[in-house]
Amino acid sequence: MILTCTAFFAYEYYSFLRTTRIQLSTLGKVIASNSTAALAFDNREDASTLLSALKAEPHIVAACLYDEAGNVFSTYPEGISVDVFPQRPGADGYIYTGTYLEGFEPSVEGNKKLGTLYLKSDMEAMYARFQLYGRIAFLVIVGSFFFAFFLSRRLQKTISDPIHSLADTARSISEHKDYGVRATKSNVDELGLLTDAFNQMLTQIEAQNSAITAFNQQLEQKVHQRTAQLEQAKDEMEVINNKLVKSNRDLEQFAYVASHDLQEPLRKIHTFTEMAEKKALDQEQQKLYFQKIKSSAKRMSELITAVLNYSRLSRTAEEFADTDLNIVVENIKTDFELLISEKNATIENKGLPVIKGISLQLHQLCLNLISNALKFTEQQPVIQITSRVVSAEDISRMTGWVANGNYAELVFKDNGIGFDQQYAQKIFTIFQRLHDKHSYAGTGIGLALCKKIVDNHNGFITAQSEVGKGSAFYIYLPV
Amino acid sequence: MKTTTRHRGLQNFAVLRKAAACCSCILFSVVCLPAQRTTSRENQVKAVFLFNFTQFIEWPASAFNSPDAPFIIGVIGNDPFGNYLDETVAGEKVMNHPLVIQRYKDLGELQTCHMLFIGQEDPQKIKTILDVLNRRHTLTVSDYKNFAYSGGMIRFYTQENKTRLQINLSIAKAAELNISSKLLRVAEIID
Repeated sequence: MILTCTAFFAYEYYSFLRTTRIQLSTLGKVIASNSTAALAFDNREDASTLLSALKAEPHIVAACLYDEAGNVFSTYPEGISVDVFPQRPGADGYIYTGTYLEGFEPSVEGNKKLGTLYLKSDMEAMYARFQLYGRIAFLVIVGSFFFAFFLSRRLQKTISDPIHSLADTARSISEHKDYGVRATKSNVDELGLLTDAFNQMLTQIEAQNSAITAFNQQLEQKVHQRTAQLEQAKDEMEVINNKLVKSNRDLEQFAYVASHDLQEPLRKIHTFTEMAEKKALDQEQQKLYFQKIKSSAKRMSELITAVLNYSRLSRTAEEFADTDLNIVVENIKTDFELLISEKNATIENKGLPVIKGISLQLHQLCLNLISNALKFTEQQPVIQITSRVVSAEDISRMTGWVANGNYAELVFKDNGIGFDQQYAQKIFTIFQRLHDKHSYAGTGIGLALCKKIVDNHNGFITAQSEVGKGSAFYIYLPV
Repeated sequence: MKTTTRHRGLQNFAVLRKAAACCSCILFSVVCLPAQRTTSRENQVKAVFLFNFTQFIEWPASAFNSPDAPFIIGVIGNDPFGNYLDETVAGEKVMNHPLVIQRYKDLGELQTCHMLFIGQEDPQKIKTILDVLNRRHTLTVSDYKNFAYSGGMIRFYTQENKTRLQINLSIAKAAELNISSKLLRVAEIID
């Protein structure tokens, strides 16, 4: 715009200079031609009149006529000093001198030169015109500036705003990761298409995102599943391992004990056999030895049977079935009928629960406990069997064991010899005998068997006793 | 006349011819100057005006016998211009017609001319001359007071020390003389 104006100004400047020169030349020619008679007939008034017509052209600041001899003949405007004019007429033609255009025009009649006209024009016209042009240019520039401004405002509305909103949407999406957001379509144009494409892309991203999320969830679920399975397997393994450790310990104990207890009757048999050989002549003595050998062999046989029972117990994998303990105790009473009547024993039992378990083992459990109560006594045995339901918390509080669910508590209380409470744990170990086998019969396996059976039924067994004041066995079995 | 004689006397001296020519020129001008001074400034102006009329007035082609026939300025009666008029027109041409000055002592000498200055104050004599010139393409000029009112075409008069013109346009037109409007501008028109 400014370049155009400058070019236009330059063009105008030169064309104006040319036009001014031509105009001045034409004016000069007219006046010079008209002034010939005035010059020829020495009529200064007429010359003055002619020159005063220049008033119509305000830019002519000075003019004069020289006569044929080159002397000033007439001047314009009136009263101007002669000194402002060149003393002698110069060459014909016009030149620019600073801010003036001045020149000489010959005054010729026919082919006779009668004088010379001098004209001096200022460039006010040009400056006035250029001022006007300047104003117009300024208005045009300002006008186009405002036009451009409003145009850009409009374009901004239709172009920048949708782009901005698109960018905002994109930013908000990347910030909040919310691919459900959609850009608003403003117009049906290229930007509208862009917005559509953007939205379509978002839809795809969203779909892929949800697919990935679903897949992720699946994966997580699977991992959870697997972890749970592994945990379970691990737990199972641990249980099995614990069992193995326990059975290993049992085995070690068994081997240790067996070396003592099983070897003892063998040693006796060996010793008495040697002695019988030495006393071959003494029949009486020999008979005694053989009796001892026989009783040792019997004991050996009992021990082996008990060990077999115990080991069989470890291997059983029988199904659990509802077992009424009342019936079990009644059956045992029948089994021990002779012994009970011999010792004049009393067994009190009533309202015992039905337990899920292996009835043979439960029978064995009750049999062993009742047998012990009948066995380890020096007076009329009184055996009380009671039961109640306790919660796992009660068990934890009372025994410190970790349990869950409800349990049936069975208490076998007797008035036997009892034992020191410090042996309450030890008595459940195989071949642990608190008493000399001569004082009280037994293999040392009974309570170990009981513990094994209770363990098999996921229960707990504990004992409370004081020497000479009877003992009480507490059995907790889950119901 | 004296100078002319001396000039002729020196003519035979070939060696001194050039120098003599120079001297004669100088002497001529020295001798002539007093004579020129006798032509007043006013009359000099009038002489120039007479020449200038040829520039602003158009004569019909029929006024000339041939395209290069001389343009004759005649002076009748008193000649107030002396040599000045001759000098003014010397070498000048009007539309290819060389300018020639002819002087007539009286009406009897008057010949066909294109412009005639009448140096007369006697109205009767002027009228006679104008009558003779009637219907001819001759511009008549005079100082006579009532010239423009009594059949003459251009009269010289003095105003504020300036020589001014009175022109009787209809008489001039009758003689088929076309006077430039420029000339008319600087003159007083009499009808």
